[in-house]
Amino acid sequence: MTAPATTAVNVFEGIPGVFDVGVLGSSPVRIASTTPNALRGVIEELKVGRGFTHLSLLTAAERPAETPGVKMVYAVTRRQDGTRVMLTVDLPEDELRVPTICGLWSGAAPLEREVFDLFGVVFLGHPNLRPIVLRDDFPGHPLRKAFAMKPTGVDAEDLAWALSSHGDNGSEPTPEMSDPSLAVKLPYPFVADVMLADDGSGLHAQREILNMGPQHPSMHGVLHLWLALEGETVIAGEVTHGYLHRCIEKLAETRSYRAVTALVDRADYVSGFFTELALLGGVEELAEIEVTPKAQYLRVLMSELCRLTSHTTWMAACGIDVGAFTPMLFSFRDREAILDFFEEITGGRMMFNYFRPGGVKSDLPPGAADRLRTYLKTVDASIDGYEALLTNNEIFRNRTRGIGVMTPEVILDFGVTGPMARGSGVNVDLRRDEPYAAYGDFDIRVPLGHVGDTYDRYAVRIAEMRESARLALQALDGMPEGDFVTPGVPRAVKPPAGAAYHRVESPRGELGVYLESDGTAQPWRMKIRSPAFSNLHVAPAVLPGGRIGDIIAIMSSVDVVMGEIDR
Amino acid sequence: MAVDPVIVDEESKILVAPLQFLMNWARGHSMWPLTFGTACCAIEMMTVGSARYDTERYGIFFRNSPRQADCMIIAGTINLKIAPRVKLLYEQMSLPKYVIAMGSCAVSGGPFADGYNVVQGVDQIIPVDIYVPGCPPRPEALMNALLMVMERNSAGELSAAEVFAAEHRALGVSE
Amino acid sequence: MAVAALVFTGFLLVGAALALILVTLPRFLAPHSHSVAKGSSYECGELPIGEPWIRFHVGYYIFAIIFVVFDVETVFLYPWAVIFRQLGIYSFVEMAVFVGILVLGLAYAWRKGVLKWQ
Repeated sequence: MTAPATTAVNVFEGIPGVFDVGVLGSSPVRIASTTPNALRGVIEELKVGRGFTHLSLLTAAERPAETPGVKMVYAVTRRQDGTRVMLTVDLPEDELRVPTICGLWSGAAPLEREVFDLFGVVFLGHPNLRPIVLRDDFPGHPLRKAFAMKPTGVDAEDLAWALSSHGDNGSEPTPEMSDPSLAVKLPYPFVADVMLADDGSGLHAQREILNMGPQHPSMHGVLHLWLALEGETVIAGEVTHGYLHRCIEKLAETRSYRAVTALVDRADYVSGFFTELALLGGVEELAEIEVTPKAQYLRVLMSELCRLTSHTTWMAACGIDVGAFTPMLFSFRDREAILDFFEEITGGRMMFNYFRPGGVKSDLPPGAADRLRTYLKTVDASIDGYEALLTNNEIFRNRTRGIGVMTPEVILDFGVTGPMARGSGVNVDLRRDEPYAAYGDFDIRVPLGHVGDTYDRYAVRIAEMRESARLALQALDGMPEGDFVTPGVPRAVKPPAGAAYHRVESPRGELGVYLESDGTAQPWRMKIRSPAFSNLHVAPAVLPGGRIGDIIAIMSSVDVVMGEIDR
Repeated sequence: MAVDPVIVDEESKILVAPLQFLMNWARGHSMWPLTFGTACCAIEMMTVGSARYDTERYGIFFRNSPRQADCMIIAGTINLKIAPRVKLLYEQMSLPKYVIAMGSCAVSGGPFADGYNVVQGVDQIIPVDIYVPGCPPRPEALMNALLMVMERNSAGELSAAEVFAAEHRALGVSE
Repeated sequence: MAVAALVFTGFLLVGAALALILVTLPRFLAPHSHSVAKGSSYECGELPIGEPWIRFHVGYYIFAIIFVVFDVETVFLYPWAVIFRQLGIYSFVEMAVFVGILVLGLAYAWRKGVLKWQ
């Protein structure tokens, strides 16, 4: 699936402003640098001229101390042949400004807001440059190395200041319009603009702003939706999050890789194995550590079981959100059975810390494989039970058919991946397209929807549950003998200096960890490319025109986990 | 802690001592928690409500509005952005109200305690009755905490909120 | 007949008394407490934006009116259904006329598109 290294440099041929062309470490990712002024032209040529239609990563990292400043990192993928390209832009300390690319991908807008928030980089032409994970009035840019964390974390006066107001989530954006030709208009309305447009006259209903706030009945964690409503109809919707920002990326810079593995379990807390796998994939790539065949199969087994637990949790939330309380009881029964296996194998129900560089922590306990096999054979019948409750249920169909339709263009525009993308017919699955762990040995059937509504996303996830059970059984049957971890890997891994970007297919989509190492035992920069972050920010484009009840159904089909969105 | 103490400004007019036992029994056996799940512990809180552990047989029924809730289970990390919302929701609950701090993050900040954005324990913001350590705590541990709160309520003991209010009054601090 | 009248009056009195007692009893039994935050309106932990006194969508009103009409119709149907057998064919025709008039109103509302949220 990946183009051979001999054509590595040809991808950039003919594009002006590109230099330092090469390959990212030992991976097939082509990397190049460009300047802020040339950035838009280069990316536009890559997207429009050379078919790199998927924006995979948009982040920043601190440059080394000799050259102070911030380095912007962009990664795009050409899905037809799987070519991956990474662009870096070096910004000096006194000129942290770069043109926005949210004219090319609307999904770049929230990613750039995050970089603005955490690094202080100003994106010229961005229409809504406000902080996204921190409070609007938070002083400083935490991910800069100059921002030192206090040893006691947050102290009493910080807390008193935080409690004194709700922060100002509606503060004025800070657009940099120094060059009007760079200004971008996003394809969805903003709440503030929509409210201003309503002068209150006439006989139609007045518009109001409603907070579907951080604490609400639907099971989506601490998500905050700002809605401009006219009666029951949504005119504009905006997403605010950051209520669960736990400084994971900054804390990772102060911890050893083993501790970081334990920490990132808590990012995507419903399915911790995937973040561990993405992180360790990067570590193993940088440090050139081989993973034993048995460990590769164990990783596949654990990942597929984890996909089952994640989808059963999603199904519980999906049912409750449209008013069906019963599916939760049954799906949690299955989830508990798998969590019992997790506890037996890894020691933890939800926070595993099971993968290690070079393999896994321990082998399957005696007898676990047989019991797991017996259990997995019953999963299909359980899923038939869930389908009996929901799939042909007229109420469920009325709530989900035709609701929240996302065309493939919207999917690509916002960088949506995973079951949401497959529900709209976009045929992408990283397990099959870029096999990692032992997935190359498996025949993976990928379910696709064709309408892209909420019902299709539901059906895709149900089909994926069946497929996961099948893959887990295959992993058990085909598991080779041998060591479960490569011997000789040091306890405190010190990967040589370099960068790696490893992606896995998590239940929410493309989960990647961009890792930069400076040769020490702590990462220099660890960025989690959260699939739910990109998936969530399609909401402002999809919610308008629907009703309040539809919002809940749509958000449940997005399957957000706030832990990985806010990190 | 800068929480609005909600002083009870008028005791009941009729002597209710004979009824107090009945009222406490009723309150204790219909403990309705407010769903305030922030992070990973929220998933374990959902698990406690599911069929294997089943809180509903104890009369515990999760409510979404603080007006209808008796107790608030803070399940997950509290950071500077959500801290004022926690405070406001707590103040919007009526007495008697209990708070269970579930998970290491709510107890003391947990694995993120040295973060620049993480409050080290929700008891920096609101008075807490029961602390449940664990990351995440097992569902049985949360169940134990809920049963402890129910026992306290049935026994008519003061909740941490009422103790805090009484201390406030004793200090002469006005609203 | 006198027994029925007695039962009916008893029902009325007990119902009214229960309602009055349940409303006034907490005034004497329950403690009262106020605070500024406690009295504020609940909006998922956020502070509400704008005035609540806006011009609401007229669809809410129409839905509510239609619901009330058919609810009252149900209230009339219940006692009729209980003693239907003793009343005979005459009462059936009368009730059919009554329900028919209301069905005409429903058909009108249906055709006017009121039942769909516009």
